[in-house]
Amino acid sequence: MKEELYVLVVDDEPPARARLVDLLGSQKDVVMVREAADGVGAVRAILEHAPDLVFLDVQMPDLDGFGVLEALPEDCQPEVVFVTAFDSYALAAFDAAAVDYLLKPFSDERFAEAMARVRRILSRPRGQSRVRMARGEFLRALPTQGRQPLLRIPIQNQGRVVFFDVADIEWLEAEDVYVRLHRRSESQLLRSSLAGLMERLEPGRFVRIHRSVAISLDHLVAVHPLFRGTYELELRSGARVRSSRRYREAVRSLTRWD
Amino acid sequence: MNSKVRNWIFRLACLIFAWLAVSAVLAEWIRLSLRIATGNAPPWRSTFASQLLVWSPWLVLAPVALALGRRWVHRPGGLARWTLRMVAALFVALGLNVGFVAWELSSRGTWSLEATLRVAVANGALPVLVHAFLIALLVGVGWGRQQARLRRRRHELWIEARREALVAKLRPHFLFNALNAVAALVDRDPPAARRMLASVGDLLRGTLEGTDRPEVPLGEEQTLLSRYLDVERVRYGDRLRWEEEILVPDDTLVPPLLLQPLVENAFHHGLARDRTAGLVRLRIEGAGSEEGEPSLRVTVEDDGPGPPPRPRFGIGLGSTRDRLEVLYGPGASLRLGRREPKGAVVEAILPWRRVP
Repeated sequence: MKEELYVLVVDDEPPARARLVDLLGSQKDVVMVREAADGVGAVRAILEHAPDLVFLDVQMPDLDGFGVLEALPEDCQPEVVFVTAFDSYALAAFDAAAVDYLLKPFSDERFAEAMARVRRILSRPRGQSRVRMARGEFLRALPTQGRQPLLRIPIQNQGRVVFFDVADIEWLEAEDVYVRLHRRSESQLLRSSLAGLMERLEPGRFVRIHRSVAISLDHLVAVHPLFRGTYELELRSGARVRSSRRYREAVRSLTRWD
Repeated sequence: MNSKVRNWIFRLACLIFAWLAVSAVLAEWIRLSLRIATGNAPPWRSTFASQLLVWSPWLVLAPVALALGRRWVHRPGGLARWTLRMVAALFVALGLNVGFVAWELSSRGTWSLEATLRVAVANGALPVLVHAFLIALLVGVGWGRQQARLRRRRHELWIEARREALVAKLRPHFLFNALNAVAALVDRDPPAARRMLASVGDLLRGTLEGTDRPEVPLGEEQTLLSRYLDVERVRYGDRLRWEEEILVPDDTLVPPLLLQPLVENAFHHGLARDRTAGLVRLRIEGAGSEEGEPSLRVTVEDDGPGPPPRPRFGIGLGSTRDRLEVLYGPGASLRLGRREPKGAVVEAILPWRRVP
């Protein structure tokens, strides 16, 4: 059995963190408790401190609990207890990716039960955790509907995770099994399909104008008609992106007021 | 006997009764006026019979006129169009009459313009007047029915809005998180935990009990809102920057459950979604409108991610907008826009009324 536990508590509401911190304070084997107030902070804290256990709120600003797990590299996946107030997703599905889940508000006894489960799992030799193994699969099968739209996109980059603000992105371009995120003068590759990424973004912010291109309406400044139903869309940074004939109706609708 | 047949028999009975009644009343009227004029009234039976004969064409014409009227009058703007049509019909009827009478008189060799017009107006005016009377009856009955229907629809929508507001307010997320916050406070700050429980209780009561009044004084709305804010303040702690600017008196009337859903919307799409957001600003002020009627402007701002360029109204704002529309019609509106440099603004405009 592991003697000392490093724990991270992630929740955007201070009282919710306080509740867990208080409970963890009475656990003898918990030697360090850190807190994070959002998904981005959680990813940073997990990469930096490599906690054994994370209490993870599901609904959080910027990046939800599942998004945090998705953002983490495979060799840095802690044990997780989901903490959630209410979720329309099948709660049983949490079992697939986490040791346990706590439904707010929870009793002290229920918390103790979750800790007991965590200890049982951590006492096994490292690397034999069934749930951590199955997590990748679970996350891939996770329905995108009902999830909070991404405001910051985590990108794994040589063991680091960098975050890209969705508001800064001017356009998206499919490249092979990647999507290139363009902002002003730089771009980043994300391992995802364009359709898959679009599903995670807020509807109405990005518009597909080509089989492999979507632009941000926030950054669109002008639409220049070309020929035969194609257009060139000018973005705030001056970049110009060409639409294809197949998406001419989508582009045309951008130029109308209604 | 099915209800359709019964309905037809009823209508026929009404028609015959109206025929008898009109003939009787007019027969009596004619006898009375002749007695006054000549001191000598014709016998009742013959006068009544002649009136029955005079009005018999209406047994056929009245249903036709009513059916046509029903088709035209009850459309939007139909009454005005019908009036125009009636004036046109009047002229056509007079024209036809003039033609007919002129032909009749000239065939008798007694034609003169004056005689023609006199006979034509005397002949033509009565049917037109009767028709107008019938339609006026129809419009009156129809208008009453329409008003009743509108009232019913308003009431239905009101109940629906209350149900939706209830569901929106009892947003399970909000409730469970609030209870969880109480669980945290129980150890750290028992009085605050009790305060929070009281606030949650007040909020639930305010929603469950609701009110049947279509409008409540602003003060009542503010009380409910402040209970809601008590809860959110505990949940979000120092991050929340609440600002309010109420520039109208407490006796201003607003629809119940107007403020809280608008403010909750700001929390839901602002603070809850963006970790850098913290501002929620409520502003209520008077605003003149183009028609000169005073109107009330309620704006709620947040500094969250802001709505997408093509936003869709969710349950909260959608039901508030529907409710404003039912209560005030075109005099009210709800707009969702972007706030500079960051965030969303929701602006509700409604007629400014005060407690009488």
